[in-house]
Amino acid sequence: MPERAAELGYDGPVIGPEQDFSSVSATLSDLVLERPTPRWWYVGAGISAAGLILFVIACVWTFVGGVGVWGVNIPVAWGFALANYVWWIGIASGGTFISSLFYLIGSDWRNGVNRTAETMTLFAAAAAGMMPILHLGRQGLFYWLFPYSTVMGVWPQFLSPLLWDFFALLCYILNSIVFWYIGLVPDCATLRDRATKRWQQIFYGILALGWRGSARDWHGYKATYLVMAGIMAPMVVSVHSIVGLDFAAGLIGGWHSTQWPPYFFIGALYSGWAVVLALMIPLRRFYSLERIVTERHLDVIAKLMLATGLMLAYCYLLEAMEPFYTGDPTKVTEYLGSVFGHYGATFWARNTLNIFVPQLLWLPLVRRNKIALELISIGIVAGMWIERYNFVVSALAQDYMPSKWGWFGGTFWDWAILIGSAGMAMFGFFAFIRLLPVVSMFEIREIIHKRRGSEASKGNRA
Amino acid sequence: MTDDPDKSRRERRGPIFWRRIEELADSPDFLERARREFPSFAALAERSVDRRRFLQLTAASMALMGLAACGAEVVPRDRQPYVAQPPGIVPGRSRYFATATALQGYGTGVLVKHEMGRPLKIEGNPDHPASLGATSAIGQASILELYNPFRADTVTRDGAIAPWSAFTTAVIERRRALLASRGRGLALLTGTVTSPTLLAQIGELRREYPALTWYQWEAIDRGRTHAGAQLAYGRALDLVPDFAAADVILAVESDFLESAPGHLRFAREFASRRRAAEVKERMSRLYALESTPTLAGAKADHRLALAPPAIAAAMRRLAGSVGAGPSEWARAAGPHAQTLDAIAADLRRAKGRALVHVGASQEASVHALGAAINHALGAHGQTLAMIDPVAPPPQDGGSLSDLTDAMSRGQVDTLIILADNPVYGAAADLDFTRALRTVPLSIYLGEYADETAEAVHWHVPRTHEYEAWSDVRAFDGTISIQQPQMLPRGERHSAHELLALFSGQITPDGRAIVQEYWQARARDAAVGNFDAYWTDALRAGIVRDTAARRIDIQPRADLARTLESLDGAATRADGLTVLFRPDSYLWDGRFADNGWLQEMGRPLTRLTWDNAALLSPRTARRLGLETADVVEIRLDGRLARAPVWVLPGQADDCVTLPLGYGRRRTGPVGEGVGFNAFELRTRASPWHASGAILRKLDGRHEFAVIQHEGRTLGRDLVREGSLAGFLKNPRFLGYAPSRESLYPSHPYPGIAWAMSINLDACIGCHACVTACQAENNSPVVGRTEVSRNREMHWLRIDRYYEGPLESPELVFQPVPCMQCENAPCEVVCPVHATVHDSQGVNVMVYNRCVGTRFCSNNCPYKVRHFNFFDYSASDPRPRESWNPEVTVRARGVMEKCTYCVQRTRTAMIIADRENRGIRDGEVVTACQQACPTQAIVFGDQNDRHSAVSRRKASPLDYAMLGELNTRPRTTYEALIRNRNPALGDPAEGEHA
Amino acid sequence: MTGFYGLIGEFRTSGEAAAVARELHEAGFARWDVYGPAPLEDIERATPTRRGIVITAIMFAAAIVGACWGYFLQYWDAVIDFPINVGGRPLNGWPGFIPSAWEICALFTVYCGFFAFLATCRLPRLHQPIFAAPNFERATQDRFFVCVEAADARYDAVRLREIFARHDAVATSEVPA
Repeated sequence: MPERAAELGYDGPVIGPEQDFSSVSATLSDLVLERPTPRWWYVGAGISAAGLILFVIACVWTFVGGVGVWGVNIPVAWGFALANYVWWIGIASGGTFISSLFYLIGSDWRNGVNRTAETMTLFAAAAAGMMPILHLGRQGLFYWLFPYSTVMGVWPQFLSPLLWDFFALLCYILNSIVFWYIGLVPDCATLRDRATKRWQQIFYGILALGWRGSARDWHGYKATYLVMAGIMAPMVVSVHSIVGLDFAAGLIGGWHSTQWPPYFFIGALYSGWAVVLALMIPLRRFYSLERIVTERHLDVIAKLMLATGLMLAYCYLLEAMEPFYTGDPTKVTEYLGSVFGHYGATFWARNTLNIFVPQLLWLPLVRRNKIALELISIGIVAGMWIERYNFVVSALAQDYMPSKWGWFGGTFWDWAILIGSAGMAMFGFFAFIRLLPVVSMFEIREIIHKRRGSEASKGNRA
Repeated sequence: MTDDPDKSRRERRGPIFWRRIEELADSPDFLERARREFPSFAALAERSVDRRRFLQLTAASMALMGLAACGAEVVPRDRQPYVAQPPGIVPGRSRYFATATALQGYGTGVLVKHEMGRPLKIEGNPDHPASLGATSAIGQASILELYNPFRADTVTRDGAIAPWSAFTTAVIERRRALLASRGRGLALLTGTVTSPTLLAQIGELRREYPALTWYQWEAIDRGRTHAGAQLAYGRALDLVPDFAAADVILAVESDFLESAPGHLRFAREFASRRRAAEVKERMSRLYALESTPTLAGAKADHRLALAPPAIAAAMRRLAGSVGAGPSEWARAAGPHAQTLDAIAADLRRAKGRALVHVGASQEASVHALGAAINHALGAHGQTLAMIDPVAPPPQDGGSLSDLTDAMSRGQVDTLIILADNPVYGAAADLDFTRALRTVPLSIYLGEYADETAEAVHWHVPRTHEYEAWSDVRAFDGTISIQQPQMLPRGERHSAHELLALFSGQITPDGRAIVQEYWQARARDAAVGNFDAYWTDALRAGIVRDTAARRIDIQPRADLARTLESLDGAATRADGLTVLFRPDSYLWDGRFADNGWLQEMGRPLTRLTWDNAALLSPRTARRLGLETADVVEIRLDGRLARAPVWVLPGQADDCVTLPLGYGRRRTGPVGEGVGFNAFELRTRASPWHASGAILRKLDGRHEFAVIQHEGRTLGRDLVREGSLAGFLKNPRFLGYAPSRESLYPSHPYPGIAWAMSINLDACIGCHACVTACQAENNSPVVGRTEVSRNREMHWLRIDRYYEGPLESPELVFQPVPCMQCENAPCEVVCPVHATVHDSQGVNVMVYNRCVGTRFCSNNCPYKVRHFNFFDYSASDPRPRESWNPEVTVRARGVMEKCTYCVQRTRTAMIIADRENRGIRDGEVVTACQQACPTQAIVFGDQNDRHSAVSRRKASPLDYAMLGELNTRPRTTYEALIRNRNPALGDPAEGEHA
Repeated sequence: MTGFYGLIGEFRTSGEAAAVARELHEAGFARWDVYGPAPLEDIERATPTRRGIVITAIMFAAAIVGACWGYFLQYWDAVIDFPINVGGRPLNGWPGFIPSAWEICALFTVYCGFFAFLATCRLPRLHQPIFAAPNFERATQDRFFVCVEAADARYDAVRLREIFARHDAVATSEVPA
């Protein structure tokens, strides 16, 4: 097929015109059912597994040694863990947003990428979920945040942004699992029915829950999915806004500001798009899905990324304006400190990676160059982490009490947790692409049907 | 013995240390005693001992001892409680016993708080003239010293454990020889001795051994002060200043706020004239001339940083202009002329109410000049009294150098060392150690197996002050009898017992010795019933009417001429002037093994676990040095490596080297911390030495600093103004931000605890911080953790600089938890681990805390501290030395100041039982109790008549960061500087 | 009664299947359904069902319940069961209760929706009789099937075969029970 990719432009259709139900079912199912595991998979999964192992070791070490093994201190009592948390949850949000919001507004390009996006969401959210627990002084007691009266009949304190956060994260992860799974059921049925090996039939049979594809079932299915999408979209917004509130509701000069919820959410989408691109580009290449995840997809997401980047730039400007507008010396010092001071490097790194470099996306030339696109996306993912780090640390390092100013530096274990969590998420993703269809088949069939009327559905008899 | 500290530390760490323990455990004598006293101890000791085990074992034994102390059979029967003797020990009810601590031989009265018969906390003795109820940081930390498991507790002979019996035998044998030779070759080396009993014993010895020679030596002595008095008055005497009576004070590198005998009293008197809101226009004015910043300089209204020669010159000019010397002195050209003349004028105006106080570091001539000026200003009898010297100067023998000569000439065959660690502290140009090794029999009575113990034949562990009977005189001569607070652990003995051994008592008994002396004395004084007299002395902590008699004496008439004849210290033009100064907390190094003192931020540098070569910013710039550079200091061919610390307010071309660090042998806490400045200190120049060359070496030093940023950066943290401004409009600093809130404010009927801190009174001495650490079981976290900003002090004293770096003004601001009514920390805690109680205290529920640390982030005052590791468990202090009233915190929980909740609760329980309300002043927080200047007041702000309400009613009262509407219960009284109108505002630069 | 589950016809396009469905509906058949690999409008229009409304209603109810429960939980703790002064805030700090309440609401909605959906489809049921129909595995890939159950009152094999054939069914067969 690659030689025919030419006729399929960036402004072309979101699906190869020659694609029909059978070809889609065949291509996507065979990736997991028939195709022998490719070498690149072993390489990727191996590296991720190494990261996963590092993560496990780092966690155990943190549990045994206590959070003292990290660089955290007084005043900077929150360090990497919180930056990681915000970063991961942001990435997750991006995924859910693609699949929910663009489902609601019925843009068909979404169907090519939502499965990847949701899966990424799942593992990112899992990584995010680890952080708040790891960073506790007494990790074993994290369950005291659950809403029941624990020791001495004490309840959690519901006014704490951390508790909002706890609810947001918990509900979000649980909902994402269902949202992801329900989208998977019909495809599992397809796999079940195409499976030739016994274990596959059992495995996918169970996952498919006995799905028949009856029209009435489909009806209920679409209704459920629609409402779920309608809930998930605002939920994503709320989740990341609450993460923003963790800081905005605080009293710290650099944190106490109403702009963080939108600021954080926009950043979240930004990193979300970036990760989807960074994953899709190699994936469609290695799995040769160019006819199903077309260059149109890449183009759309690239443009989205550019737009979001501009919104983020606006947030950065607001961030710069606010301290001087309020004239609060604490805010001013903190901001100048984060720009030129001890953490200045991170500030400029974030601007370069998140704002300056992505401006290249104005040029179609760049948008069409997959290497460039990949690099820019990865740059943005890194840039977003740096932004969170700079945000969390520099505000704490220089707040109201000059006498208690102090700097933070990550220790080996801080880095191990960060890199390890990435390993964990990637490993999950690699497992997914070997076991489940990377693109939602039934939703692709819908598009084909839409495009070519009912004739489309005529399968070429095999 | 090696000179490489690392090597020797390697040797001593681990192996040697444990070898000693095993020997200890093997020595039959010890096991026998152990079986008798602590069965479990013996059982343990027979096993092989590793570090943990040793600590447990120590702890176990101490615990037993603590408990045993309740039993009648081990407590000295006639020890008397402070006020009324309770029928017995009531659990939870603490008892106080009066005693005294001595530094430089001068005593300060303390009360030791006992819980269940166990001494746990030091408080000042209100009846004692040198304490008035206050304590110093060192005094507070002395309790940790008492429990220090690393103090020596076995007699050693040439470094090997030996039974006490072996030692006594050796002494008895030697005694025979000595009696025959009428004591020829017998030498005694002591520190400054004020103990009447010890003096009597020495007299006793002299009668037995006429040829005995008695040498006196203190690493940090007050010789120059005495020499100055000798010079000025022609006889030995001590000066007793009265800072409460002084309107204008000139402090010449004065130690009257930090270390001069009686400094706690002086601080109290000084502060009584400084709390602007109370004394208004009667506020006194303080000038300071100094080479290196002192607390007095920090509190001064006008301060000049001058090199030593310049100080001498300045004093002449002042003497000239106040008529204490030839008037041409007043015309001599020199820097800061204007300032000095203004000061002189101010002093003249305050005739009869002026006072000049000269620090121990100054030349005798400067002291004499001070005396002359005081006389000219009519200070005598007004702000200054003269008394007979409290510590009689030695009649013969003389100094350490005389002893060294005698030893190297082979004239000493028996040497008894009662002085503290001369091998470490001896002048560098004295080869004391080698001379010491030539002595056939050397005996050292010392608390630690330190450098000296290593160099002598016999090391007898010295009892801690709280383990032995003795007596000591205060700065004004008042005598206190020191009664032991617990039985000595191991084979420890007091100086009295050691000397008694030499006068033939085989089993000397400290109590008997002291009591006999006092019986004799009582007989002479005809006090009648001795038991009543003795009991009263022990209860009160002072022997009444023993203050030295005041003498009326004028300076010598020819003083001025004499002074003219001597010129200032001969100084070399080249190089820098080195200033040797005792460390604020380690003093001459004797407290080096005390974790609390090591980790206490130095008031001015804010350094912990380190000393440094202090340089002024300008000098540092000139030498191309900056903080944390490492330099090699060359002084008269001697070398020392030191890290540089740039200290604003330091005089140019002066480098201050704090003494007391670089200990090669002491407990594991103090070894190898900092550099040893004694290695540069010579007989000729114990305080100032000129001609030092600094050479920059590569590499940088990592300091463990408690405070990194020294400026307020224009934030409304410390409010400050001039007295003039205050008198014009008392409320000029008391403005408060609006307290509007969306929410109705919470009612606090009943008690509402609150605190007020007076910034005029705070002198930054850190007694409160140490007291807080002692009271609230704050662990010592160690150097690395401090350098990661993880220190655990619940109360800190921030030091801010104002004005130009060369001549900055300092502010000390104690910062405990503000106990905000709208506490930001509480709102963000997800598990209700920090909440408000009905009395408005922001309480911390340790066992509910999961350690999110959000509360600390959200605390604008940053007064919360987190147990990143299990600090308490890794603290070597024995378990039973923790305060049982306060939870010992585990890993992963947040902690902070609670307004000493254990004290408020105890008071409420007692009040309940007596069916009455809490009386004002009934609850005193640890910091408040320790404070020498009464800067801190605590109480119920709902009671309009309480002391705290009165303080808060002050027009200067303000809430720090009040604009955040946190509504702190802890508020401050703004700082007022009493400027001399003739000299503008130093903050606007030097006018000279 | 009859030994088999029903009669099933296999079609190439959704159009054909939809036409059959429309005819069956008009003919008043009740127990029949269309099976296909994707939710396609034409078929949907041809097969009447009210499941959508039902599930949406359930999810709406769940949302209300979730929100109320979420708020009540916090109110109960902070005001009734464990009232304590936290940072001087009023006990019923309602603005602070809203975020958690909303998240709980979302959780309830999504889960109730999911289970309601399973219930309406009688899932999970790993084996369905219809799976026995020949070639049925293509129902989840590229073919469309229409099956009328033997249990249907109007069931008439002959007539049905005729209808299927008219809409050129690829194959027609009986599904064993």
